[in-house]
Order: sequence, then C-alpha cells, then structure tokens
Amino acid sequence: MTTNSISIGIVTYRTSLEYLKRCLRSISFQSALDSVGSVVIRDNDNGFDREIIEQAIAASGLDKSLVKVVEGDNIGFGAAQNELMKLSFEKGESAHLCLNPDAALHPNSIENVLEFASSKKFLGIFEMEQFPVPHPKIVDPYTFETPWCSGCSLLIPSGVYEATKGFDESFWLYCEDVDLSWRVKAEGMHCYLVKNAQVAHFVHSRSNDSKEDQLRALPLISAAKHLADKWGSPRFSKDMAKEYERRSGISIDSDSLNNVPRPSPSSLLKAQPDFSHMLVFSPSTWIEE
Amino acid sequence: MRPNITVVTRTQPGRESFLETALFSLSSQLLVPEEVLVVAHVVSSGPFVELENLIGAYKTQFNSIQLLTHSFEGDGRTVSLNMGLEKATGKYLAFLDDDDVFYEHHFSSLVQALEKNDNAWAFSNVVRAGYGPDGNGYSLRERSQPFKRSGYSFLDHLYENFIPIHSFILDRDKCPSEARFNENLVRHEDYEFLLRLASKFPPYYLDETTAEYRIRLDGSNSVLDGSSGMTSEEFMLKREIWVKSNYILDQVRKEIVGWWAPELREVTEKLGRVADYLSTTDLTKRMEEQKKAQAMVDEIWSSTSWRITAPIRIAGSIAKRSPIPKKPKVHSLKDGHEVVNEIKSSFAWKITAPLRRVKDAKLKKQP
Repeated sequence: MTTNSISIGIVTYRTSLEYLKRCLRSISFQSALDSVGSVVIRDNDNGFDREIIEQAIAASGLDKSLVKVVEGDNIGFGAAQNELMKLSFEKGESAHLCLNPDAALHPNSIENVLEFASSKKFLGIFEMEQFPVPHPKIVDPYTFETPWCSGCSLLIPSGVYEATKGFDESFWLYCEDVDLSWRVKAEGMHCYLVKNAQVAHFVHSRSNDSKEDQLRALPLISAAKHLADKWGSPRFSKDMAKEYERRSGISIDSDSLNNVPRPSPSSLLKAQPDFSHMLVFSPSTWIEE
Repeated sequence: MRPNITVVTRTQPGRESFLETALFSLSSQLLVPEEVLVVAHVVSSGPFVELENLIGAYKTQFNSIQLLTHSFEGDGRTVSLNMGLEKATGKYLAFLDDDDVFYEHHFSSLVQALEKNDNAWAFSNVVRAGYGPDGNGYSLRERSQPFKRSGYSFLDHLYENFIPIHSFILDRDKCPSEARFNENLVRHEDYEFLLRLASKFPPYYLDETTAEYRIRLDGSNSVLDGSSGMTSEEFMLKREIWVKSNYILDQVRKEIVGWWAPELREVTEKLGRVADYLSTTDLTKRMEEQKKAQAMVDEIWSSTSWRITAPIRIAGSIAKRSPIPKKPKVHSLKDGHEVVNEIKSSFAWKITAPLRRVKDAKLKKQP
C-alpha cells in the first residue's frame, strides 16, 4: 500500500443513471478508498445531469463529503479533465485518475495501480486494463510498457501534468489520450498498462446494427484525422477524411490544426507515433474472426 | 424479499483466480444479481481459506453470496448444478462457470427480454475468447462467434449444442419446479437439461452478445476437457465418459421425438444443407462461397500441424478398421466451418499446438 492521495475525475454528458451509479459504487468498494482524496464530477451539460448525479451519489454508498460536483459548458473531454486536474493538483493531490462514467473499477484496482506507479516513481502514465475485452494494443509482458494509454481509466501523476499541461484541448472527444501518451513519451517518460488493476468497460457493439456503429464512429474518425494532422501523417489524415465522407457524406477540412503547434522532430523521434495500424495506433495482440 | 436474479457458479478449490474474474463480471453487471451461489466440488473437509476469503471479499457487492460445498466421489459438475438449483431462491436463474464471464448488459438485456415476452427462458449470443500464454500470464488472442445462429430452431438444437450454459436465463415461475440436471451425465449435462426444457418451453432468442466463453489455448483452464498431459488410461476414461454421455443424449432424443430420432437427424442435416444452398440464390455467389469453403478446408488440411499427425490418424483408422480419412469436399461455408472446427477440436490438432506457437513467435519477430 502507498500513502499517496489521489483525486478521481469523472466527466459526464447526458450519462445514464445505471452507469454512473455503477461507477460510483465501484469507487466505494475500493480496498484503497483511504487513498482517494476526492471524487470530482464535472457535468459537461451545465446541470442537465444534476438529478442523475445526485441520485447516483446517494445510491453509491460513498461519503458525500468526498464527492464534489461542478457544472459547466461542454468544453470537451480533455478540457474538462484538465480543469479537474488543475483543481486536484492545486489541492496537493499526488495523482489524478481520469475515469469514464460508464466504467466500473475492480475493488483492488486503485490499490494496485498506485503500487505499480509507485514502483515506477510515478514517471509516466498508468492505464488500468479494460475488462472483459482488453484493448488490442501491444503490451510488453515484462515491463508493461505500451505504445499509448487509453483515457478510460488513466492515472496521471502531478509531475506528468506539469510537464505536459495535460490533454491538448484542441481534441474534443477521442484521441486526446493517444496524443497525451505520445507527448508523455516525448518527455522521456513511459506509458504503462497495469494488468492487475482492472476496470469494467465494455466498448464492443452489443448488436449487429452496423449503421448505428458507423455513425458512432464519426467523432473518433474526425479526432483521428486531427491527430494525424498534428503528428504529421498526411496520408492517414487523408484516409480518415475519406472514411468520414464515406460514412456521413460530409467532407471535413483538409487541415484541422489552425494554431495547434506541431511536435518538434525530437519529440516525434521519442514518441514514435504509429499510424500504420489504423485506429488501434499499435500492432494488435488479438484478432476478431 | 425474494431476489430477482440468482447465479449459480461452479468451481473447485485452487481455481480462485478464475472465480475472482467471474465474480468481478457479476459485480460489474448493470443489473447486479442479488443472490450468488458458489458451489465448490471439494475433496477434503476443508477449511477452504482462499475460497472463503475470496467470497468474503465480495460480500459487500451482493445482497447474498454463499459458498456451498459437496464432496461427490467422481466428477461432481452435475451435482454442483443441482445443488445450486435446489438452493436458488431468485425468480430468474442463471449459471456461470468459474472460467467464463458475462458482459455488463447480460442480465439487463435478458431479464428485459423475458419481461417483455412470455417465454420461460431466453438465451443470447456468446463469444468464444481464446487466451494464450504471453510470457507472464495469459492474454487474449482471438475472439469468434461459433455458437451464433440466425435464430432458434428446436430441430437444430436437437442435434447441435449451440447454447452454452452461461448464455441462458430461466424464469423459474414459468419453468417446471421439478426440473433438474441429469446426474448420470457429466458431459452435455446442460445441453440435455435444455433439450428437455425446450421440448416443452420454446426459448426467446436475443440477438445480442452478452457473454464470453473463455478458453486457454493450451488447455490449462479446463480440469477435464484438456487432453494435453494425459496418460493413455486417463484419455481412454475421458473417451468413455463422452461415449456414455452421447449414448444418454441419444436416448433423451428418442424420448423427446420418438424412435426415429436418428433418421430425423439425417433428414434435418440434409434439409439444412439444401436450405442453406437454396437460400443463396445467386449462382455466382454460391460458387464463390463453395470455393472459399473448400479453400478454408484445403488450407487447414495441408497445414504442417495436420500433415505431421496424419500417420497417427491413418494408424488409428486401420486399427479401428474404418476407412482412411480423405480430405472432405465441402459445398457451403457451414460445411467448411464444421470441418475446420472438427479439426481444431481434435486431439491431433491440440498436440501440435507448440509447433504453431513457435511459428507465431517467429512471425512476430519478423519486421
């Protein structure tokens, strides 16, 4: 066990009660609940979720003094988590756990992720393993380094926040985690997947409604294009623009960057952005037949 | 108050790491079952400290979680099911073996399906997830849906088990209260139970994927199903169990449909193939499918793994005085998949697993 105190940041936008209740309940069952200094929920729809959030907190069994709710405009996932991280680190927390409202922690996951991060002196970012279907990106079975970390359940130490300034707010939703991971690597730190810290998060399609899936993927494709524009892969950017148009009939800008600075050549060298494996951004470890 | 959902989970001491995963999948359901009955087949009188500690750790997550034990001499898997069945008090009943998992919407979707329909039981799609060793544990290698069908047909079900034990839930108010698993069976026990149930109560089929059947590709998670490392005596014993189970199943089929059950099987299979064939109306498409299916069979038939074990199969056929197996001609994708699945589940394929792993490792090393 470590003595670090962390904050947990949850960003909601018209979230369902059953998911949020499950998420908060899973925090209340943590073996390392003592390490959780605060749980901050940001309602990204200016109070639209207020009632649901209140009900979920009441049903979760969490001490109400531990939970704080802030409301605001929909500024995107990364910007909202940055706001929460700023609050957290000003209070002196040592790390911040970004947690999706549709995710549920394993009872030992905070204890295990802190133990692992502590063993790495908190030099890097630390992703929990998604359950029951793990992300297909590769992981070194000995060092647990991975090419990038998903933001679904991601521990960001204060030092990493200081070095990177958190998520790039030009990403609205999706791929901000890939971008942050590559910037972490550019700073000479690592991305880790903590296998014994599990988080229930089901991202696979439940049914065979391919039309619904196609539309759901649009923000992801748009974000992937922005990532490619930023990290210098015109070919991937073009492919994503084509894919977006194929699915929606709408063409998207050829360059999404505007004033977003591009990484330096040395950052590119250290980050090793991978655009050769489609939206996995890494070779895949498993196949779907 | 009566629980809404009861889950019966079979396990054994020593399998706590599997059970832990199963319990996490239960606790992270969107509709959490109120009653969990963990039934352990034990060989001693205990104490079972690890098992009890694990269940203790999950006490706060469910209204009720209990450890039940029995020390049946022999294979106690069916006894475990009946023990759970007898103790269950919930309206809805489900089974989850310790090495399988539910997806988060398993109960919310299936209970809703039963509430909206008048069926006594419902089932959904299950993914087969293959895990392989990765140097420091096991990791996912492949996902597939070999159990998925386009709907429910009792005739198909009569001859093919495509409803794994964790893919269905029962509404106990609508099922016969005396329904039990047949303890003469230690294989196909769930299949036989469902066949008897389905002959009187048709199920509701929910076309959603809500559970996962997990296998370790090296066979290490199965106590009795894996054949690697078995002595010839153990192998023979296992074969005998399967033969006995198949015989009992055939008797049950005859009880359900009559003495013509074997003939019906042949007719059903032929009709199924004709229907599959005719359902593909485009001749070019049919020919393409046939080519694809044959290519699939050709590929596996000419693989190193299958070729090097050919002498064993030929010797076996000679010893049994049965015809030497020849490469089958297939006419549809269904036939092709059947042949491939049969090969992949064969002993000969399993014993050559190390060869394939070496090949995979070499391929991975290549830039």
